Amino acid sequence: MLMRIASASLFNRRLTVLLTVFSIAVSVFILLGVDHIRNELRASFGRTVSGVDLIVGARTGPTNLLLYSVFRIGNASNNMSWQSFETLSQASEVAWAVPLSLGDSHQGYRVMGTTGGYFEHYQYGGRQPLSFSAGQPFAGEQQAVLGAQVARKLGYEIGDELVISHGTGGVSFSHHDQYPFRVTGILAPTGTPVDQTLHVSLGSIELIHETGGGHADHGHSHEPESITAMLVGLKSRIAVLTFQRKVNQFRDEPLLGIMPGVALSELWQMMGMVERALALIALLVLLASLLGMTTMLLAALREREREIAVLRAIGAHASFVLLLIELEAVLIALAGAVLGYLGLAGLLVLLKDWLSSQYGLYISSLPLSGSTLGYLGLIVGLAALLALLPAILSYRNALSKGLTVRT
Amino acid sequence: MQSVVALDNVSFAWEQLPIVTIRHWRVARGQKVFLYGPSGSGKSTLLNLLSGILRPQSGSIRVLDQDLTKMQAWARDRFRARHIGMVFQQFNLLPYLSVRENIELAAYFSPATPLDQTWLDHILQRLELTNDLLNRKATGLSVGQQQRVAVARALLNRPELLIADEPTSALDTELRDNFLHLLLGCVEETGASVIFVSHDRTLKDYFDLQLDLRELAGAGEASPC
Repeated sequence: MLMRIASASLFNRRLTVLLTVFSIAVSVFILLGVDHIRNELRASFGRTVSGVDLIVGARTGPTNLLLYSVFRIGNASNNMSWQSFETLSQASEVAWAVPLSLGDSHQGYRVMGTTGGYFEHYQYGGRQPLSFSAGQPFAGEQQAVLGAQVARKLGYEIGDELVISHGTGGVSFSHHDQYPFRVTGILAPTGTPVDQTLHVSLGSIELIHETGGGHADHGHSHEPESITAMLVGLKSRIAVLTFQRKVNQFRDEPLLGIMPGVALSELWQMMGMVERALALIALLVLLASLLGMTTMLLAALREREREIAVLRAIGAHASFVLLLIELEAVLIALAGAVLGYLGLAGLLVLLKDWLSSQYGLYISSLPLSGSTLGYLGLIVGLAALLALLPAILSYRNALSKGLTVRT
Repeated sequence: MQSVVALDNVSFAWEQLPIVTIRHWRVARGQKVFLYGPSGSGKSTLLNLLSGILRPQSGSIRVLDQDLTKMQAWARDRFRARHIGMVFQQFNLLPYLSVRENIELAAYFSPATPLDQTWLDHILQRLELTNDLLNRKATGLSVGQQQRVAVARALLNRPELLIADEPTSALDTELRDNFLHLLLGCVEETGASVIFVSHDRTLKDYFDLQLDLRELAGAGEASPC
């Protein structure tokens, strides 16, 4: 009966109640959204690169190098020379080295020049190697291996031809169209930026950038002058620090070597401040919306004096009135929390593809995990706590005023 | 049991509420008392005391031989639900519930008396309320209908005491007489005592006994206690 009265009373005031529910839903949306995206970003970044001991590039900030070499975010301001790559890859500690050359695109997807070693050595997640869902690695120039999403979104299959554009924008006016590429392989999905990348041989990158004619001789391989970065695997992980020092003190040109894990944790440290600020804002928004709910309940108290007098006259205890108002607050908060949760979950489902193709962010759909349920519990608890003010006020009124209604 | 209501040496004074002191008052079983109470005569304080919502500072209030002043608050509430029916001037019903739900509330708060559908049908018929009204919202009824629903609810648990506070003041003369006939007719069936408070003296002839609240409650006012 308490439930029936509470829900009927709320329905009777549906406009104000609905607005309050929406304001709580918005704050829940922000709160859960900030928390979820933070966790997902960490997980998504964390699983992108594994098995690489050192990333080497021209001297820049560690975060910058990490972002453009692995996550395809931003651009390199400087390249490192091919000479340095060769010198470093011949060092005694090095087990393998893979060059990366970025800077071109195909319909908004990044094109990366590399060697066949990339498909052997690059690992993601818990040391999972790349695998082909169709075809094989490129064997020469003008051949391309597509990331899973590139192939799926653009509808390419093995044997199709495509043209690469200069620059990395979605729309480019400079196409390297005298050198079409043929698709030789498509990678299995990884949930990392690899899915949005077209892989070609390093020589192909050089080929399409050479100006003028006269290179009809496809016999010799095109050696690049410079590359964007290199991935290094060492024979023994113990050597990482010494090798890193060697890179950072490299004589021929200023280079930077970073350990992906360390650079990531530096990035998170930097992001930590922003995250905490966002979380604080989200909490304040929640508090504001719950205060709004309390105000609504308080404002309704006066006009509900008659209602309370009627309930008291029929034999309701004053605590029935207290419970009624508490229950109303809990129902409002619960409705807001569920609505906010569903809104966020729905939006994530809708934006999932767009986020991954535009930003390489892999945000999984919202799970009803322990921490999410914890937040929802916190919201309902906080609502119940704040509603104690109107609830206790009306309880005291019910006790002292009884059947008397101020008119 | 000689009397349904027995007040002895009751005195109550609190905050802005008018002071009420009653030396001795009895309402016999089945008696219908007209209590003339203009505003400011301590009428609502007396009703709060009789229904066990307020507790006097001293004295005893016995309803059906049970001393309300010696009961816990929850016990007084339960006692009121079971043994006392109340009808107010206006706004007796929760506007957002249906008429049926409003009536069922009375049974809900009195678990000792399960809803007696035959009895409910009977009093609804006696009060000239048709069954199709039951599913309507309380606000969809005329004032006269609302007052009759309030009577039906007040009598649902067959209380031994019915307290009515100006129940006719929102009705015009014709409706008023009809309402009183219906109310007293129903009460007749249950044998309940009635305390009917009003400022309209023309109604006194419907009742067995007429009392002036100022004389009853203000009796001890002159002598400080």
